[in-house]
Amino acid sequence: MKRILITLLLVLILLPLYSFDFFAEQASRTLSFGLESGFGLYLDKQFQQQTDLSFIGEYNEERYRALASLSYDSASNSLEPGELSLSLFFGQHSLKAGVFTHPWGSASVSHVVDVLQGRDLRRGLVDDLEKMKRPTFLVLFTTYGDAGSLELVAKPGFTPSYLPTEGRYSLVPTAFSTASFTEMDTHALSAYEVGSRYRISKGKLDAGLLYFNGHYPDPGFSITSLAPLSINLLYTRYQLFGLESSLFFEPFTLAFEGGFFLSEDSKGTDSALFNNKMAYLAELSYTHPTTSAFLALAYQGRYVFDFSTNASDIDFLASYDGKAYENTLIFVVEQPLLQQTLTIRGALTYQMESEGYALLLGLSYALQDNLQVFGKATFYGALGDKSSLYKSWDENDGCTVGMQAWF
Amino acid sequence: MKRLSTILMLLTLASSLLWADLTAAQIMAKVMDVQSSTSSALDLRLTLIEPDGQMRERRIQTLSQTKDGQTSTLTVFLSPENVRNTRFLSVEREDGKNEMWIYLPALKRSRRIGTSEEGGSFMGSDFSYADMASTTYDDDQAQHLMLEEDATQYVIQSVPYEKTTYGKTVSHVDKTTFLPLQVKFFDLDGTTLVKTLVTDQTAVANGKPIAKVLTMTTESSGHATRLEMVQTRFDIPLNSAYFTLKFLETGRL
Repeated sequence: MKRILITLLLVLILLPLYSFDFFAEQASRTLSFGLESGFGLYLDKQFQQQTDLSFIGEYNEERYRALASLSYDSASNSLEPGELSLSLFFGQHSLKAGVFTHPWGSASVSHVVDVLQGRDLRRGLVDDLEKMKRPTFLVLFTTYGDAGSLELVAKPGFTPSYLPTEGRYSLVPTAFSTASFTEMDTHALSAYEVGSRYRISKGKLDAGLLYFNGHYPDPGFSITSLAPLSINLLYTRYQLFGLESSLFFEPFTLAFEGGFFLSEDSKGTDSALFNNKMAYLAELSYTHPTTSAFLALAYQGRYVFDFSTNASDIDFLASYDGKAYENTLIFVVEQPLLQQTLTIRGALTYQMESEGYALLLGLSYALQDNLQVFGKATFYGALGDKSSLYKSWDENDGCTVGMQAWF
Repeated sequence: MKRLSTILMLLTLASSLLWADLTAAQIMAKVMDVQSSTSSALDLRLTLIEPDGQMRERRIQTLSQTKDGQTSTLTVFLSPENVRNTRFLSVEREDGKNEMWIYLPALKRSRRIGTSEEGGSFMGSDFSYADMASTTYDDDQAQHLMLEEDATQYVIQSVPYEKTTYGKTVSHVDKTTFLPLQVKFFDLDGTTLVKTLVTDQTAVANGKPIAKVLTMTTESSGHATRLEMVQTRFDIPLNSAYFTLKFLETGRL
């Protein structure tokens, strides 16, 4: 909260004015508000109303940018930062610090090397990858060369994934509902994280090499007491050696992401910590030249080394159908219509080992530039009886209608 | 004697046709020349007009620079709010083809756009990306043919050698300023009228005649887009760093 206030103060007191040099009346300070309100009905006939208010304040000057993005969630009655950042620009370099998200990865519909922030699954799966991320405190230094850039990332601590412990999207087993939890101080300096990314463009190929030393944002656990049940949450430190790339052969783009995650439990002997793993993703996307229709098909996989079938091992608990490997297919389509005022979107995820699926459908129509209405439908489930996140969220099928406004 | 006069007549006719074709090409080259500059900075307002008269407005700024015959363009979207700070970069390579990227602030990432997407709608308007670059063809890009000529205008048909977006255009060119006053765009079949561009207002900026207000209408839907040049600067010194991925991603030199 203190960080939020300090950054907000900086944003409000910094003076204008950035202009494009060539024109007058170029505003450098922009304030905008957003309102998103929706009414949802789940298939179990439970009704839900959700209203989010957001505020974005931005100051731009030639050598710096300050940005504050806050949102108020009426359902949880909480004020949360989407981004609170200050960026400095000098020569070929930029330095950005604050609470924000920063994407890694070259694909469009999913990532396996986007490791700088944890997940936010409080609303299940939504049709916006950025909205499923949890902003975290980052210091990001970027230097640009003629054909590429180098990023250095430092995090004094980390923000774990937001995994709901109660409600519709709870991922905590029923047996743990009465447990008391303890966890390491994730914001201590000892929980530091560092990383780097080197990106280069050569012809139609964009490629990046990644290194990250940090923690899995999802916890493992150990039971410290059975009566009363007491659980210690543990976050596994690992190093990522990764690659991101995309090859553009219009109208297609072939993207590949992959990495080796070297765990602190490299021998896989500690059941509370995640083992070494490989993760990989290949995506073929297509954009129709004249209609701008977008289609993408992605394959995402994972292989855990030294996999244990011990029922209390965290890798086993996090696996699909008790397998060391995981294969998932994702298909996405987006079609803008009526001079881009109407947009139809659809995404289907199929997890092969658990036979679980998630289908997201969406439609939005811009009544005006600053006002749009939308309808969304979400379906979770599994073709068989195997347990998975998709199966456990089966009762969360539902639809939402609402509106978004900016002013 | 009869044969000789026939040959002379055919030669005269052929040379006059050749001259007419060359004239049309020269005119279209002049049209391109009048509209070109080594660099430019434009502040533009796009008004999207629905068939029922409802209007929506977009504001953009573009910087353009031509060096060694290669043109780079950077476009910054200022409004509406949901596309603000979107940036679009086009860099012409040595082989004449463009490399294009778009930076999407909501996704915090840039992605490549194909030249085949040049035919797609620019910001939901009736202009395509290709139209925003140019609405006429240069003398080496198309076969130009003079259709009509009166005291004030030339009417020239242009059939592009490489048909990517349009099969044919018919341009009405002002004889004094060499600005296109009207351009009709035909589908790849060369017969179906797709869009019509009308110059509503001309002006002189930095001693240069410009089309200040233009309206593009899509024939099938009746939807129209008015493009207004709010502020213009031509042949100004521009930093090449504007046309880099760094500026695309940071918005800073």
